[in-house]
Amino acid sequence: MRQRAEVLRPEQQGRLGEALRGQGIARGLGRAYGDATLSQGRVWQTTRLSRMLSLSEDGLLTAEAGVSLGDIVRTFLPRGWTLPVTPGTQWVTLGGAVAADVHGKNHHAAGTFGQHVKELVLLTADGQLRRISPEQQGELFWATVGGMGLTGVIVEVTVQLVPAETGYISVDYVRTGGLEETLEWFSGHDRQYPYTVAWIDGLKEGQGLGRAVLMGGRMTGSRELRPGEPRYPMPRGAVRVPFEFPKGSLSLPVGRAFNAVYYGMHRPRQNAREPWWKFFYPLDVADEWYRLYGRAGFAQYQGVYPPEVGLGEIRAILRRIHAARHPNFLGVLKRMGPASPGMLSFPREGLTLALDLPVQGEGTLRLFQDLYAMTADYGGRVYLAKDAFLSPSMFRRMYPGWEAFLGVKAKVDPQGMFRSLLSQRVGLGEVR
Amino acid sequence: MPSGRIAILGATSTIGRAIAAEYARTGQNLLLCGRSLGEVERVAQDLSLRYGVAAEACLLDPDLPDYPQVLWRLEGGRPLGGVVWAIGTMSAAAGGGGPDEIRASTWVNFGAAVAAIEGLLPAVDPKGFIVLLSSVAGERGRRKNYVYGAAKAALTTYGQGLNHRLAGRGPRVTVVQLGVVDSQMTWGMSGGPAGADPEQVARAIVQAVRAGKGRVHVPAVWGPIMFLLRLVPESVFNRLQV
Repeated sequence: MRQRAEVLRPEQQGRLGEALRGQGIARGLGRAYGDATLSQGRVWQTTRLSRMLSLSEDGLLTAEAGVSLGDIVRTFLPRGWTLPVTPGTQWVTLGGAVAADVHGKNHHAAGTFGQHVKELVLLTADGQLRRISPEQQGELFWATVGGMGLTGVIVEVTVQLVPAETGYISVDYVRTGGLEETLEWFSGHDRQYPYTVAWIDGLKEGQGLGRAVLMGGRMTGSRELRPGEPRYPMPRGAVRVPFEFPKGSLSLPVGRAFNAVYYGMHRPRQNAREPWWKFFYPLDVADEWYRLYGRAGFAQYQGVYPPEVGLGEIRAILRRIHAARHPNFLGVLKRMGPASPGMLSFPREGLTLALDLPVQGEGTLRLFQDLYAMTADYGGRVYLAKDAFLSPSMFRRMYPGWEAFLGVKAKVDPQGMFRSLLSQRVGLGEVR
Repeated sequence: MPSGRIAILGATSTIGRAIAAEYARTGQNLLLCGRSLGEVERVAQDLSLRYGVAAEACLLDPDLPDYPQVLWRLEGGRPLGGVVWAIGTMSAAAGGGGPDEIRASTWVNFGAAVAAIEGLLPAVDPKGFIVLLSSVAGERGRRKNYVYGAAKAALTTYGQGLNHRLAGRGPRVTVVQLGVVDSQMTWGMSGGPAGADPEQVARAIVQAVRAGKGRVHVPAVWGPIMFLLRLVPESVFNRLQV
């Protein structure tokens, strides 16, 4: 997806106010997979508004919205504090984490990122800096959390950090032979772990369909460390994917081989100790890993379904992808906890399934339309931060909070200053 | 390294902030100055939170009448470990501006620096340092930014003279001839090479200061580039699209 825009990158809050003219959308590190931070007008990039302002004794951090999550972990982990919730990459900004109301491997236990945010400073279309929280202008707060930047530019975030005894996660790895076994683990065994995720082989057909490597983690205690072992380890630099790979590099056979190797590599183990970056951010070992998909890139399908959805439906989704003979990588399955109050927040109670699909023209688009229809029929929804193709009618079926959201937007942004390609695509661009 | 605070004049500029962070990372206390007190305070909060140093914010506006006595008063007679001049503007970069615009930009890019450094000199520890952020734009005038370049050439010459004057009996002077940096100033400029990362630029500057260099190109690649560019005869240069 390509879109030319006038990109402004203010380094001072005052300059951000001056740059707030015309129509556009805020952008952090641009890790949304679709068109959430693209605009036909302006793009307000916040990456240089990255000053940390205060940390209270009980771990309440206030920082500008352009601070990355990785920066926060590196700064405060050595002092015994870490993020309450983190997505699968550390290269997202605080503002982006709030706007997409991101979730992590502990969603079933800790909820979304936005549920740990105590206060936001939001720059709205009228040029006002508004201090909002669940208690103060709660409606605007929960429209902004998960609101994809459509209520204004998030300028400051106050988030509750959590104590971290060490920088390690103790992980149990379990391997399953098929989908039934995988879902069985998620029907209760996962509850004993604060962090859970399953890597699922989306390409295996027949008996092995839905085979997975299950990971259950908890923070390693300080007494479990060997003497002399660093309590808060830090990573060395990442390798970089040097160029965009040629078309077809990630084909069906390559995908099968990759998945088989990954599955084979992860033998069942108990209490394996992983440093934080390996457990939370496995993809960050390679900078710009998405270049592996070449110029056409990839699209991700991530759906979440109500609790009653199980074996039959997940199997149907995987079979639909198989029927399309479409390569896919890095399937992820997880059981989520209760929904966030965010009006457009993605997570809700039930299973979530994510699959990366290289874009291969019309076929990919047709596949996505089918997956959307199945998801909506199951009563589920797809994740806006990762989506690229959702239509307005499908969006409204999946997100019943859209009406309440547009009601708030009409009040704070009556002219529709904040809009992205995403908002226009799903019908959030126009205000009633 | 002298013990006094390091004053960063222009602490909310991209490179000023990066240099301040680099010094804070090594535990130096800071006096951060800029024309918007609120913004400077944010930088001060950020650096003290990240690195546990004392960072004080102060208002410094080259356009205000009490400039630069402000600094001297603020320091209260305690010697500064170093001073970094990181203020500059690209407005009226090329010819064509009116007299007011030219006067203002020339003052900020050159006169204000001289006034600040001359005023602060007695307050700088003789074992300390002075850093002037100049530019490769001052090494050969070109159509896009020769008014700016002329002011920076003057700043470079001032720094050389100061270095000569203080050699062996005062703070060391380092003139930094900056190439293109990914900063507020260069953001959105079309064409030309991609800007260098401010953090790496700051690291190189601090290293050059530690090494006691009088003049340094940052990033280093601009040394040979400007050497070659200065050799190009006018007749050829005038046909170049640089």
